Amino acid sequence: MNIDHYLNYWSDLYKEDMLTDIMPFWMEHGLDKVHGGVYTCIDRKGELMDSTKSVWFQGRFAFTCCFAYNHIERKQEWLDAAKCTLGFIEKHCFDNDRRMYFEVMADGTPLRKRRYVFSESFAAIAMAEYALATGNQTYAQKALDIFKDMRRFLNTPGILEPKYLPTVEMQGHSITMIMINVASRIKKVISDPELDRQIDESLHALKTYFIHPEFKALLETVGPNGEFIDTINGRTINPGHCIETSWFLFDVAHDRGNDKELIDLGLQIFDWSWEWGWDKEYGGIINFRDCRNLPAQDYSQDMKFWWPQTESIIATLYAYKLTKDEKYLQMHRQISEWTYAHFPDHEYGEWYGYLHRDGSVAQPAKGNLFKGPFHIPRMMTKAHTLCQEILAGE
Amino acid sequence: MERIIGLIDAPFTPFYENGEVNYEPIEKYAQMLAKNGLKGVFINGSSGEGYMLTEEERMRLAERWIEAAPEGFKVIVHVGSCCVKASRMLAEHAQKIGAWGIGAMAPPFPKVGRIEELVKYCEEIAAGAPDLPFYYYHIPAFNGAYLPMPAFLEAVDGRIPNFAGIKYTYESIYEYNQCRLYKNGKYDMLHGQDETILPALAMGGAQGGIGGTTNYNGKNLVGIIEAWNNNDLEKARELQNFSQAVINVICHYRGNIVAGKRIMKLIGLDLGKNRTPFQNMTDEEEARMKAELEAINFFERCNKF
Repeated sequence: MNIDHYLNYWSDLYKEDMLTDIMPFWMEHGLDKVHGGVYTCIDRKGELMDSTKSVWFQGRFAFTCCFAYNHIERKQEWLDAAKCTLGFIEKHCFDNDRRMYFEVMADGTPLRKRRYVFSESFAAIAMAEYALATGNQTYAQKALDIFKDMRRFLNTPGILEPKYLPTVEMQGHSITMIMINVASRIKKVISDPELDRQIDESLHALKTYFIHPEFKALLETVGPNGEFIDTINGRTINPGHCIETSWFLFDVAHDRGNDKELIDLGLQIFDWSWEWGWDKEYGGIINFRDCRNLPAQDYSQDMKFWWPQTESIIATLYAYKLTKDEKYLQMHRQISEWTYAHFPDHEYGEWYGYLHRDGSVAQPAKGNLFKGPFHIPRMMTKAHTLCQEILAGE
Repeated sequence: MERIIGLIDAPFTPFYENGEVNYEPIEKYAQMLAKNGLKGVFINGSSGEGYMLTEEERMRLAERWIEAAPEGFKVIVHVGSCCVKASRMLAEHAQKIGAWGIGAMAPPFPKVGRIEELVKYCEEIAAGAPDLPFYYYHIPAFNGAYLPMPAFLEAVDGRIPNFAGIKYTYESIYEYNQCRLYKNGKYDMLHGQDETILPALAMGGAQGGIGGTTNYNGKNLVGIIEAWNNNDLEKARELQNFSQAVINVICHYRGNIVAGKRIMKLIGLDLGKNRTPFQNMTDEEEARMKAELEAINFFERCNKF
């Protein structure tokens, strides 16, 4: 493999797709020029199917615009879209207790609030990225305030309704890993000891509780001291999710002077999760596996979603950057070829999100409350940057 | 210029179910061909559905084949297309990425009616890869370019410096031999009809060739040349006759590109379907073809992984 040629090819393609396909699609079909914010329930051709707005995606879209502005091209319209979406968030998406909603109507009327804090996490990274783009420290402070609120919500019993009754105690991988990313993004614009404290707590939990070497897996749900819970939920492996965690760890390792132990931890998680996730029969990263190889409960278990593939594209490039082991570049090619052969919609633009196991399209919409302008443009932006860094010898 | 000795395979292009190119099987494919005695590949030609691929796909396939090629395994890139500018660009790319050689057939549209236009077409393409041998791929049944090849050789002689020879895929072994005899064998005449390797050997040719059924029947086709060189005429005849029996079967199912590609699946390398507008085989046809192949003990004698 001619590595320079290969990396240049992908680097150019990521940028080109951002400029001519992904961002124009959402700027045209998603951005709400009337109320501000973004719609994501968009069908294959770009028509609005439902005007309900996902609060996750208000933050995710604003983040995406700023992230692209910071790393792809300084396009004023992206920054304007971010500003207008942040305005919508600040005006409509917070409840009086500072917790955020999950769904609101087009004009911002709240519809639903849920028992976790992911809306907050995406608003926080959006504000941090906006501060980075504009130098406006007010937004860095706002991001930090949301982050501290999240910590308070998570650590104060009684604020967030538990998932189960008190008869069973458990902890989840999702919030643990998301908090690493939130803290890492905010650290780029403002410093506060609580940020590194959070990262250390999350790292400790991953290493001590969630990693289960007996299964060569990172589990999604474990007991309060990391106990293996031998139920369907307790046995669930979400390979794409773990692969996302692996590159969040690479980010932290990078921020901490290429911390070898952290890189090794990330690689371990990546290698194990790839082994569980790569579908040797049809290709692509599969949705769910059971660590004892029993049948998975979720009926989407054997489908191919867009985001486990995009996270794998980032993680393989990142692993190559940190190790220079060509094995990871081969894996990057493996996942990229399958992904680019099956997800992009060459007729109407953007990508499909939901494929059957064999790669055929299960439903052709470009978005809903869970798919929208986030994983795909984040991958293209991050991967473009990684390629450039590798080529520059960093 | 180096002569090609032995058989080169014209591989099929793997596709996913949705019609996109699947690059993943190429490594295994290349290893299998080398293991069964093939000396290289002639990619993106008729068997590879080259005219149904985008230029981007053709370039990426070339890159992947070159990377996957075992030591000494030749990768010749077919760069012919209806657009001579695209062909030249593909030729430049092939040279840049380290292909062993390039080739081009006459364009299927517009039909080339005179030697002069064909020479000009080849000249412009060959100039894109001046350091690589250029082979003209004579396959008039596909593109209607029924032009006399000895006259073509005379016309290119002295005009295209990197002209290496012809991949001759036509039924006139008389004309094939006349080309071979041109200026005492000045040009490398690659035999391109798996049906008639033995008679071409008997005339003194066919020490080098490019096959299509070599994808799955390579062992036996390579065996014809080996047996001939070992003076084992009986064995050579048996192998040639067996190879014709295999060709008889694929002719029942629309030929090598459609049926041959499906045979790959039956021997353990699923390369997917053919691109539109090929008429793909139905499952029922596949079952019938399999039975016909079993009846001639094909699966005991075919290429192995």
